[in-house]
Amino acid sequence: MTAVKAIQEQVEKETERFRELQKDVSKNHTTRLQFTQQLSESEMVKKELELLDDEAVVYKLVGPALIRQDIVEAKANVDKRMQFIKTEAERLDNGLKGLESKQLASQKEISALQQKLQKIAQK
Amino acid sequence: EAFTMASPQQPEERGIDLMTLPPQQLAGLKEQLEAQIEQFTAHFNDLQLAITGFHSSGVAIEGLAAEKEGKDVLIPLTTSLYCAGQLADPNRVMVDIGTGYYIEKSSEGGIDYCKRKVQLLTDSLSTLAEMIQQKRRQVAQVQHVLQGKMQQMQQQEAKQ
Repeated sequence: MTAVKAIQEQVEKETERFRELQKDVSKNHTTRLQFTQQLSESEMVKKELELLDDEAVVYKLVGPALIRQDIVEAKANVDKRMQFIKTEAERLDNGLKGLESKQLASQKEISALQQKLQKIAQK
Repeated sequence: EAFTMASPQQPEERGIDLMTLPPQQLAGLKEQLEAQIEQFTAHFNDLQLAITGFHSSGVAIEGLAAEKEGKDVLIPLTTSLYCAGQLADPNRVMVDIGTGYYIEKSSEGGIDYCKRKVQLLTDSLSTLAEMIQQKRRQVAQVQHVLQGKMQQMQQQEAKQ
């Protein structure tokens, strides 16, 4: 009987681990979505800035104040920001792959444990 | 029945033969599709609101540009407090282009900006409308197969 209990406890632990992994995957997806949104917004800003000529007046909202910015600097800053977002998004994507394979392994473990329980019950 | 679906993990479409799926999975699939349709519809409404907003802004700039410099205006300081002022330059506007950047444009530039935004959003709206239609067709397909299977099950039970 204790063998059954031991396996049941293992199933519980592994299920808990699976749930934690699911939460992490979910968080990853949410953050990844945010990055996609920020990236598209920056794309639009970049396009709009490119339409301007060199004398155009550009301001940046810093706190409650609009501060005048040089257009070349503004374009460079937008590019830098987009680069940063892209690398962060890539990092998330790699992290997701790791999480997903851990999830799969956890699922297999739970299956195997449940099969063990079934075999014992059939004896 | 062939059924193509893109999942978030695999962006390539894969064909699923609906007939091979058990009723529970079919019902689950239908729920998933319906949830997606709800999400898309909410997004659709957001787009429509944005289009209306940009359209109104364009109209507002047109009205502004028609006024003369020095015209008396009332400037809202809070929701219930205004102060008197004068129109400085009816041909210059400040456009919020996103991520905290603002650019100065002529009123024509501002009107053009609003028109371009309306066009961009309207294009997205059409694409989204098509996607919603496609999802609705898929729901109908799944429903059809599900009903067929349920009928089959009932007939088999009646025979026994």
